[in-house]
Amino acid sequence: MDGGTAGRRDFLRRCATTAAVGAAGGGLAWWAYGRQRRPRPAGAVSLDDLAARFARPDLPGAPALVVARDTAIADARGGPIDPAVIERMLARALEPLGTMARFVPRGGSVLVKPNAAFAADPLSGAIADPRTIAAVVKSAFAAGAAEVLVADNPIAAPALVFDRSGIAAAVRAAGGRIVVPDERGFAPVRVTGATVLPDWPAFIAVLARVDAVIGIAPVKDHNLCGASLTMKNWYGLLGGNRSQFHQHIHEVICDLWRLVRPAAPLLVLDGTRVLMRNGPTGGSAADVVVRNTLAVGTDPVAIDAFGVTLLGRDPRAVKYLVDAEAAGFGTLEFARRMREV
Amino acid sequence: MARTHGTRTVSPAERAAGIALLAALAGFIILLAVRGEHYEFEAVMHAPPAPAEAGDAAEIAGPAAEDLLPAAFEGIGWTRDGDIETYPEDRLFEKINGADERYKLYGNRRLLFASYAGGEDGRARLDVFLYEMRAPLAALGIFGRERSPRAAAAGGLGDAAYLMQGSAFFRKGAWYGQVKGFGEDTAAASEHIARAIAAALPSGEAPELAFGFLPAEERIRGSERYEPKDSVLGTDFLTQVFSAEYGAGGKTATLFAARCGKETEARRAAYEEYLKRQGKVIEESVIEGASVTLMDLDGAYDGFFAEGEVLAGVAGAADQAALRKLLAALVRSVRAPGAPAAGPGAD
Repeated sequence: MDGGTAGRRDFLRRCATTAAVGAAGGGLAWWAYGRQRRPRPAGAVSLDDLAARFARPDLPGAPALVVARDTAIADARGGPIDPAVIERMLARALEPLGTMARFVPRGGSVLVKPNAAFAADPLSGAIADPRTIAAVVKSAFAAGAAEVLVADNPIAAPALVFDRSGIAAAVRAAGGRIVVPDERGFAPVRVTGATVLPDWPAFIAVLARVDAVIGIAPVKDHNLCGASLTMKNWYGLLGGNRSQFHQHIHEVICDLWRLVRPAAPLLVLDGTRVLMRNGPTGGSAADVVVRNTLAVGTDPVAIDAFGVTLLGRDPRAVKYLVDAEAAGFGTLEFARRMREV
Repeated sequence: MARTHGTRTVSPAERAAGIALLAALAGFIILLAVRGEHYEFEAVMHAPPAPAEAGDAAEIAGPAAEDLLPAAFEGIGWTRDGDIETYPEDRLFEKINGADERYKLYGNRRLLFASYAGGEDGRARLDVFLYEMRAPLAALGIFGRERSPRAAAAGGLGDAAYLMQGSAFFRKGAWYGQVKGFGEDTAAASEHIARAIAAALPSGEAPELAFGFLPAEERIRGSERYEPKDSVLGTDFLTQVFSAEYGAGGKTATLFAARCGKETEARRAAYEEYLKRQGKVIEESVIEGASVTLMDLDGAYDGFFAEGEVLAGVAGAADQAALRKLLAALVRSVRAPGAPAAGPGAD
């Protein structure tokens, strides 16, 4: 029958047309998807390849670290910090370093990496204070950042850590974005000159996205390495079963600086309150001392050496700092290159 | 009215469906082109935390986790927020990171963790860390290690306890509990919860029995410490160190004894060298028949002696008279029946 033949032919033609359009559309979509996708590295990547992106203007004569103190920052018991005081301290401290504008390119993307290791109350001294983190986020935006991402990779339940520590709320209120890590964000990274850190998964999704990196570390005692400060803070960029590195923690901490050094990070040491003992978790409020201090700088050895003195200890007794100085990462003689404001 | 092309007829409904499909396809293409491979930065922001494997708790004999950390503590209105998390020793780092080595040093079996919410607005928080150690002596050790020097003992709570600015810390048997809060509004609740948990925990042998070689008189209750590796005296060569605080009225001293085996004499010499870096020898003397060395460490007075396989001594006495008195008591207790010369903490 003609009608039946025409109907079948028409049906087949429509099917073919639809399939062709679908295939063309799918192909176009695949092309568009692939065009945007970052090539997945066949092997480990290195931040050395990204170093040019993180270049910042020289500032001859700039101090290695700047220390700001304010006795109005917190009550003697270590209670909540007035955010406005922190913001003023940060601005004061950044001034001799060329202000935040020297570190944050206008219109750029910024990674803020706080130590958010635990779902702990900030009063425990075990994490960077949310108010300090918020002050840095605000400062980055004021300097012209288009985007400020706040990321860390605590071992367990990152979302819970950000929520319960108060960091998520503080960052959002400041306009920043919390980045909760999952395995899609990690890729093996090769660290040039590493002594013990093999090609290891790092949080490359954020590192490859941003134009500036800022680390924020509390000052705290550490059971294994003596003191957890800005260099130790980069531990939170690693993925995988990183507890195995505890056996070589001093060497790993130096390797962590080798990892992030191409990003020329700005370092912020949150010494508003200091965890004097039972670190890195802290025991009770009695372990915490209010120091009313904030330090910023670019020399990890100098700023961490200063941090060790906030713990009342000798920086030369911390092995990774001695090793880091020997490796040329900075100077333990921080007092010569420090400015107090 | 439908359009016709030869034998084809396209109805308005077909045309509308076709347009919708093509629009959806175009939208999909645009979406992919714009977003590319996008890291879902906040996709898991509010995902519930992954609880630790529940099976771990069942593998270890002992009180059920649910009995120790119930969904709510009656009478105070604090309720558990989330599941109980269980971490056996080899996964402690997942909860406490590098602090795990401190607990492993003493011997840990597992950590039970739960978070409780309550208070006037229901937003205050208490985190409960309940460590089951391998022996009561291990619980005593880690409890003493983490205890603040400023902490005053709290009576009637487990075997020993102290309260500190919104938190409660206690040990009972082989268990060490921390109920952590950081505000005055958590003080009463943390103590209530600590007492409830302690009441549900089994008792163990009294670890203080291991301190029988230290004098009982003038010992400050709850000040006993046991260190597999010395962290009391500041050395890096003493192990199996038992110590306790003695005195009253703010004038306290530490008495210690360390099992050294065949290394006793070498460690006595090393300890003397260690102290000489901080002060000077004021006298070599004999007290209660033991050869003791008395030292002045810039106004604090130390003394020590070797007896059998034990190195024992006094650290931080206020004056020489107090030092001699404490040394005499220590020599007598080390030599007393029940305090074998082989020393405390025999393997």
